[in-house]
Amino acid sequence: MFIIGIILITIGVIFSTLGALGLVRMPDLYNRLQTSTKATTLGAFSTIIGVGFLNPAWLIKTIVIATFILLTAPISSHNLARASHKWGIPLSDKTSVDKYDSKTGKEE
Amino acid sequence: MKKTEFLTGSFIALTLVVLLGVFFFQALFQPSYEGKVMPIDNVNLKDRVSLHYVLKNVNDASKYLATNGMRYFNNRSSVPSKTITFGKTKNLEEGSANEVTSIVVNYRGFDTLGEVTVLFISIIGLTMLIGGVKEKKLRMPSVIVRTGSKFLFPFILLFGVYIFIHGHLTPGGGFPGGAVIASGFLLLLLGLENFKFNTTVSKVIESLAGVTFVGIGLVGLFMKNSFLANFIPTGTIGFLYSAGMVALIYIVVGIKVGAELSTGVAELKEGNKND
Repeated sequence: MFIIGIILITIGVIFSTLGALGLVRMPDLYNRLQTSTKATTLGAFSTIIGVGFLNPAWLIKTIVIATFILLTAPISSHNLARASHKWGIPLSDKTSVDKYDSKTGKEE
Repeated sequence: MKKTEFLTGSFIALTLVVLLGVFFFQALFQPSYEGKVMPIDNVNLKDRVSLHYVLKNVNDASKYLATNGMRYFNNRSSVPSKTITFGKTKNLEEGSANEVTSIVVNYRGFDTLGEVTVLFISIIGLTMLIGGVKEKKLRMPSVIVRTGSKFLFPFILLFGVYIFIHGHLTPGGGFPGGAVIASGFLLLLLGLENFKFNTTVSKVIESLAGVTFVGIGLVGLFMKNSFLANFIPTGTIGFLYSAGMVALIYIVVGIKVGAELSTGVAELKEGNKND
């Protein structure tokens, strides 16, 4: 149990670090949102589950918390991206295709 | 969205919420030891945050677990249990596991009544001044947000109720619990475009909760000769049935703050209809 917990927490820490790095490195809002969402979902998720494995009495509670994070974080970042696209925040120069655009792509 | 999909989603959400509710509130079905010193053998206090509050100190709790942790598993009677009686015990705040709660509701109960009134008046002023958003500014939310808000709302409600019911045991209490409930209603108001919040019902609930708060205080006045006195035996510290009146008042405050903030949020969106 201890080793599983340590491995899960290590994965979570690595993903959170990569997410923080992506926030600095990525060119525009949408890419940054993608990296930060990955950090929150997988990073926080595996850290919390790892804590549950370290202390098995908390395992059910940590699974509940992790499930809640897994449900809420993608929805909120989806809505952030959608709202900023509708607001007209520009994409990076390197972006080649925008499928959500009303002219080139199909609107929902 | 098809109707059957929505029904399936609601059914799954409802089942999960019921299961979680049973898990959270299983302490309700444990026997109560009101007014008695009982060895703690039914509840494993080690697993609860309350232990840190029973021992009044996080460091003490860690030391206690380090020295007595194994012994606790063996004879299960080493966690200290105290009985608190109003008017006899010197340290009244020991009635509830959470010291902050015991000060806010026990010593400063009248002040908390004032706080609730201040919140009420500020919500009235806010909705009168800036209530009502122009409909043009609101876009229709996407399918993901609509489905997600429908699915998540019961969980948020359950979490708010959990916070204010466990207010005398763990950090939290009536005000944060009410704010969590109001955030659930805010999610529905923003996520569903045709969600109508019935402000009349919420105002009635809020008024009833406020009247109950004053009523509990008056009962204390009649039974113990002082307003908002603790007239219920406080029981064993760390249990759900403990802290006497503190738990009752926090439930009332939670319902009142939740209804109040939800009404405020709804009126900020739709405007005050009584104008």
